Amino acid sequence: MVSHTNSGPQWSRRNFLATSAASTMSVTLLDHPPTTAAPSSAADPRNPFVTNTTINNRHYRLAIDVRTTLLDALREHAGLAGSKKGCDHGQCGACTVLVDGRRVLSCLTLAASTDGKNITTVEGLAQMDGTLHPMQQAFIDHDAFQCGYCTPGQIVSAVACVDEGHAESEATIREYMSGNLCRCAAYPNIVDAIKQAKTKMKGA
Amino acid sequence: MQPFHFARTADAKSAVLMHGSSPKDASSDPANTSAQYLAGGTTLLDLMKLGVTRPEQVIDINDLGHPKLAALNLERMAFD
Repeated sequence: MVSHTNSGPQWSRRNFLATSAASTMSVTLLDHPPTTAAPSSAADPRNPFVTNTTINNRHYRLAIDVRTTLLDALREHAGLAGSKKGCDHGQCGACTVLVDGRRVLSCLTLAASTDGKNITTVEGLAQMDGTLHPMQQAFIDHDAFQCGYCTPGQIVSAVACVDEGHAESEATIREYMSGNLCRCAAYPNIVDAIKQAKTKMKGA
Repeated sequence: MQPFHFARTADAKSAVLMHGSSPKDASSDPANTSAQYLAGGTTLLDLMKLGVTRPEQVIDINDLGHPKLAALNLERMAFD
């Protein structure tokens, strides 16, 4: 693994990957501050783009390719694999996360666009002591999933649906949850779960 | 997706200036314009992933916070 050639810094694929893996929390590949709002015409667009975001109340500094979507940044760089990649084209809603309280499709959001913003993923809903969010508990109580792949997106979306005040009737719940597809067709149970969680979330 | 320069602004004027100052593409194909505004992103990023649109510069204008868009009443549009 250690090579003994004397030709400058040793950058192999292996130690690059090891470095990347070890620095999931705070990646600092650049020693100069992020160039926000600077006319970025001269710099090579392949240079890492530095973002500072708060994810689930923790600060993350990531130096990533500017093309990285928020979903890939969360899953591959921040180590938060709760948000799922379903279609990667914004059709299924499995990747739904909250950015400053608004639900967005993280697969169609650039991580660079969320610099300085506050992101909540499904990992950030439960309390520190492990107590589930009322919506998570309601999904369990009502069997609101079968395979569970869409569930992180469904739960995040459902929390926002209630917070937006769009959970007043079954019709509005179905309308405002229509961006989240479930191929197991657990929709009736999802609606029931949201109705249950709504009352608990209002009581909280 | 091809690499691009990324800029974000909350000011409409600077967004237009940035768009205007980006180098013009030699081809006349509108899909290959060198600068693109990024608003919602549901179309632009999808097309960029597929390689249909290949901008050299992306100008994020999500922070403009257009008041008229925020005032749209989706509930009434959907149920009235």
